Amino acid sequence: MQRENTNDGSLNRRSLLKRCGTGLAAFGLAGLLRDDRMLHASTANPDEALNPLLSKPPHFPGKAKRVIHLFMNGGPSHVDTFDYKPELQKRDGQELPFTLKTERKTGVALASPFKFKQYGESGIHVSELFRHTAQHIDDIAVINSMHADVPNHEPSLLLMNCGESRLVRPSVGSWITYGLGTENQNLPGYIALCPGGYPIKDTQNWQSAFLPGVFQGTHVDTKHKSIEKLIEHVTNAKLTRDQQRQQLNTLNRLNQIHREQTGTDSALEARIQSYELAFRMQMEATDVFDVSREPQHVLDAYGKGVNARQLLIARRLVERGVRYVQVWHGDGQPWDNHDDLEVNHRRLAGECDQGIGALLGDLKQRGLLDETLVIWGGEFGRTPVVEMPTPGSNAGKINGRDHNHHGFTVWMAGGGVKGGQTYGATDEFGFKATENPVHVHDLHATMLQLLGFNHKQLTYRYAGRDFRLTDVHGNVIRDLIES
Amino acid sequence: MPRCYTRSLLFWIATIILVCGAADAGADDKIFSSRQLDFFENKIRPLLVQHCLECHGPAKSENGLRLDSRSAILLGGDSGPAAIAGTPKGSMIIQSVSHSGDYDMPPNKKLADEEIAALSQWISMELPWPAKRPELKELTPTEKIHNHQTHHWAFQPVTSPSIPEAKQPTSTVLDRLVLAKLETKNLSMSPRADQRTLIRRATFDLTGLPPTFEQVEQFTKDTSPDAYGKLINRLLESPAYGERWARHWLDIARYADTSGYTLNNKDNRYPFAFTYRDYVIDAFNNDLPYDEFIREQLAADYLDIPEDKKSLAALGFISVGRKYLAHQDTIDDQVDVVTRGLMGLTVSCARCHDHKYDAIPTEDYYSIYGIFNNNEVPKELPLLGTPKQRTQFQDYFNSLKNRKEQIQALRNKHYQLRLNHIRSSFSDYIAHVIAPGQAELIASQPFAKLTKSEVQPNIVKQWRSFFSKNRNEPTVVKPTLALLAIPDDQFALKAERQIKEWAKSPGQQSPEEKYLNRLLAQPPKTKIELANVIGQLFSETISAWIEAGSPPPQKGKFPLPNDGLAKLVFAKNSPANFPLTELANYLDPNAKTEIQNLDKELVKLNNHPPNGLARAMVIQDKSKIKPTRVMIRGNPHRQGEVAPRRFVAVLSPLENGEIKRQPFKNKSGRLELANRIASPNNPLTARVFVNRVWMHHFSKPLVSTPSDFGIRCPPPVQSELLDFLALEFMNNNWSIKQLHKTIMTSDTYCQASKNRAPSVEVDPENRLLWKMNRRRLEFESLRDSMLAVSQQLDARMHGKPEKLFEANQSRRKTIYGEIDRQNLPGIYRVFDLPNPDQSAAKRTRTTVPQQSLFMINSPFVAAQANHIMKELVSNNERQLDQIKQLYRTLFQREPTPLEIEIGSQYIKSAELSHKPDNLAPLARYAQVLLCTNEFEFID
Repeated sequence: MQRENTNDGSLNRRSLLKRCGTGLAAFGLAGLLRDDRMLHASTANPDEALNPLLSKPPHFPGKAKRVIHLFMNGGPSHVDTFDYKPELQKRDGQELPFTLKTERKTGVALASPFKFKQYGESGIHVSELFRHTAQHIDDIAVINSMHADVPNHEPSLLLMNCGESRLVRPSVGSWITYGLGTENQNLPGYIALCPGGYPIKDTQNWQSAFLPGVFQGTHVDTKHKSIEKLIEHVTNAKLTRDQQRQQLNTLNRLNQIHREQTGTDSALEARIQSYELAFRMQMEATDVFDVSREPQHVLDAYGKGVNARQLLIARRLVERGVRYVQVWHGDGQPWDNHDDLEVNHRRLAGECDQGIGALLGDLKQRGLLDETLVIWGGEFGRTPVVEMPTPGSNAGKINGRDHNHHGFTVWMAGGGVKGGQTYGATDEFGFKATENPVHVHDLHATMLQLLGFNHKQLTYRYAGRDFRLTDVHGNVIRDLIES
Repeated sequence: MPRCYTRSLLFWIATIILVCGAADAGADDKIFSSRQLDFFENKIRPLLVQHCLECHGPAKSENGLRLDSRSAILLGGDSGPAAIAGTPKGSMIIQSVSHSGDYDMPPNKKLADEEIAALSQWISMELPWPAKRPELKELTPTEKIHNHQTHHWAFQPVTSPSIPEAKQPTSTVLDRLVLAKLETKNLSMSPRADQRTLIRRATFDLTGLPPTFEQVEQFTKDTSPDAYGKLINRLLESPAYGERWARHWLDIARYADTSGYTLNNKDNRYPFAFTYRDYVIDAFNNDLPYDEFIREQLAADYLDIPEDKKSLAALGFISVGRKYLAHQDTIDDQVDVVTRGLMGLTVSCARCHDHKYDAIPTEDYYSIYGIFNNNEVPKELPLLGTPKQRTQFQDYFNSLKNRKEQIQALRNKHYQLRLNHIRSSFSDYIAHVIAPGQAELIASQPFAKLTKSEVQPNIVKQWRSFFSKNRNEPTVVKPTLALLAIPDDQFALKAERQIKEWAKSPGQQSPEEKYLNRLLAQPPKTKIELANVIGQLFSETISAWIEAGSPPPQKGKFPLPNDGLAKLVFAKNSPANFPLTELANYLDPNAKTEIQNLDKELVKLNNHPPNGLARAMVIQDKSKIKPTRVMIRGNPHRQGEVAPRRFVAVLSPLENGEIKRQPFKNKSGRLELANRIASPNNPLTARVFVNRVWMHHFSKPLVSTPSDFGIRCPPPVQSELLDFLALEFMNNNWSIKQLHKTIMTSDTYCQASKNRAPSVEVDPENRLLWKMNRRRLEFESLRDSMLAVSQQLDARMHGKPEKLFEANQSRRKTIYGEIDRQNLPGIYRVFDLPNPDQSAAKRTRTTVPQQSLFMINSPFVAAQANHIMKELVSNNERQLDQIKQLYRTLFQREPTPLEIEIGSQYIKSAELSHKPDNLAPLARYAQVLLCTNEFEFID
């Protein structure tokens, strides 16, 4: 394996310890934690009260240590990507024997304009749109029987991201960083990459709700390249590193004098440490977002464009121990192709397929895929039938698909996922999940299981009750997990 | 029944279910000696009930495991048997309670060693369990209420605690209560903090700002016995006091300046949320009695309203929450903020099912829900200020009025156009309803007035729905439907036959006379022709009416013969007579856009009022109060029993097994609700509030779950102290300022904050209050203090919110920063500001590097450092004096020689590395001092 990048940030034990701020371990103040409603079932780390982002073990050893969630916001069409439906091809232009209610009016069956082919030893069909991704199909578990509650973006985005479609609840990434902390204190533990602005529902998609604010996702607009626009306050326009070091040295001396008067106090110590962490974060964050440090062949493998770049950033982030990275395709809802689906899906897949394939290969080559759970999907899928034109939106065009929450596809790879399989199925046309349906809550329960959590026990007491990601729902899909 | 252990147990366990019971079914036939059973009953059953059954019992069986019968334990759950009879070491229960296995149980604490030993012993005895099966008994709701009312500490009336004799001289009653607790552990209070610490502590506590050096000097020199009391009085009189404490309250009130997510990018601003924030500031500054404060926030519109109407702004407490896309969720948030925020009662938990722990049935939730569901936001929010003050905004009001009139005129215009269109093309539209999909054919009829493209789909839809709604109308619609049931190819023939039939033998099914005659005169050959018959008749009915001088048709009164045709044409839902309010359903897309654009401009005008103009974010009772039904499992489509608007049962008196409470009678019942909450007889309200105030003074509450005083909240260690404060508070006419004085003039409050042996070992969490807790400044205080020491603080009070971190940095206090709940600035979350979507009782306190990044890199901190430097340079020539002034301003003390040396060393080295575009050396030094722990922590 080639390692040309000497400034490589991959994790080893020593660098990890350094990044975790070893100093903190020396001071302890148990109790604060319990007081602060942290009902995490693992052994309470006394430092957690001061920095709840310190890495901590889950309920039981989980294969997955971190997550990359590739969010195809807007709703990619499953029958054009990972859910091959020969029957739909045959019935092109015909009425289906049944219809289901979706957001808008729909018409006859619309065959996929894309060619499907079998890939890998598993021989799973994937459309030409994701031919690069398909090279890794034997590492991928394709869940063809996903379903959600309603055919609208807002509630479905919240359901997929927060496990609840209406009320204010913490996002998956917040729950996971709450449960596991993060491995690199020099970077935020939970990062949402989204080029160009926000998706629909804005920052609610990565909200921490009633969990402490540190568990909220940090949004990074990957459209920008300069670091100061990527992370707030991470650079200083007026001082050099050395000048800052001078400042911090003096600060430490003064704090030392203060401490002699106050006596030991873990809160004071934590504050001192956090300046050191911040100082290091400036370098680490600058480094991690600078993909120009990658060798040319890696850049070539990921391809061109902002999606390629942010997929590479995602790899650099997890490599450095960031716990949860969400990669949004773009602002708004790019995959929402009510019309001109062929043109638009081709363009969108063209923007990310090569990068996703490269990411999976890259993670595998670096030995990170085993520990990194990669998830691909949108908030729902699209109908196998054509959408009828609506004045003011897709007027005059009958070449797209409506939202479909009855059945859609999400795939997972790495992190203990049993690859090379399809799980569950939709009906012969791809409208509704009929075989082994997997609700979004089940997906969440399974994700937590892969990360080492019993989804019923990862709870937080708020307003008189113990909340959890899956509320009162969720079944772990054991067949998706490598035994 | 087994012997009654419940008496000796924590009472609340009984509320879950009396253990044992039916789950014993299948208990094997194993016979145990009475000694063994006694051991079980005395040692094991209480332990299981107290620590295990909440999660592993009849109510909940976590991990599939129940521990309420011997067989269930042996059978185990998802992870296998919980115990192996005779083998404690191999039993999962023992591994779990001794924290040596996969699970650590109970989750939040470890059992005592002797309890673990007892469990081991019990398993080695092969788990003795009585073979009998006493009945499973669940408490009735009333029994549960009785049980909680009798036993739960927080539901007991607030009573005066007995004040212990103090062994040491103390200043106040409060101190005697604290000392008594300390003495039980042979601990004592810490010595009084020094004067500088005291004035800093009190000043930050009450104003969120540091004192000035001069104030500290003066105070340390003042040896008069009432110097400290005077200080507290002075601080309480400072306007900054209200700003500081209002912010604490705004956490409870989930305050924000926007409503949350809106569809179609609609403006989500609450342009007048600030009037609620300002109301809260003034309430604290004016020492508005807390009970009055509650009443105004829930029901100011029911009370006397002053001329400037300012009290109405209090209603923002209800209305500044997130607006959810589902109305029920918005009301739920209001129920939550009122019950949890004011009483520490988690009523919202009972939305979908009875409260899992507290005696709050779902019906009680909907009783409160019904109060708020009967409120609405008026179209125009009331203006604040006296009529005279309002005259200055005349221009703005005029443009508002013009815009409204413009919209009104446009709407009227389109309304008339639409009515005329509909009334002149009856036959066309009715034909479209009768023969959908035959637009071409209809347009080619001789009667057709509209071309194919002139037919408006939305009007067809309205007609269709009109006929569908009136399908049982006997004189026109029903006979028509009978004709329409005839297959098309036989229509001409069979229709005529049917019409003649009707003429021959009129019956219940026949059309009314006018219609029948017309049908006889020109029998329709096709269904489309039939449409024309009806259309003509409708048209004639309308024309006759117009000719008659068109008096507006009134309910039940018709301008013309009271026949079926007139009834239909003038029916309430008739498209020929639709009301202006339904214009949107009839407009064509272009007119719709035209009106919407004007509406948008009006919204913009409303949302960007001139400075100084203020409106109250009121709610008002709906004109018609409707009963609310329980929504079964929280589902609005599954309606249950009516839930009368009234107070919760658990806080209502229980007499002879009956809950004594009356439904609220006065409109929605908001005032009655407010009165029940703001009552000295409510055991929660005062306790909850004094606990909140205590929390902000000591940085730790007495009751650790400040917004949940339900049965899962154990009595606080300092329960007497809590009751003493609550009673004092109410006796002092709910004066919040007096409450501060009671707390702050105590020795307990004035203690030093240093750790001491042996207290720190005996009570490391300081539950017994042997010292003051050291505190870190919250974000608001931190930012405001930096502005204060750099002399930049813009002390203007009140008014519209400002964006704090835009390029053009605001110098206002942080409380005046705009809070956009949809996109909360990252810096707020980094510094632990609570999520403004939910009432927040207690802020989390984290220490993360992003906070430090703000301190070392943000333009804001650099700017303050620069301002400090300018001040220093302009006042002092010598570096020594500059350093001295810095210490005086930032820390209100003189620097030590060592600190001076460190300072000058730093400045020297900073000068060496200085480049023109760097922050100046002295400013860099000031920034270092702003970053110190001494600046951020209060002793």
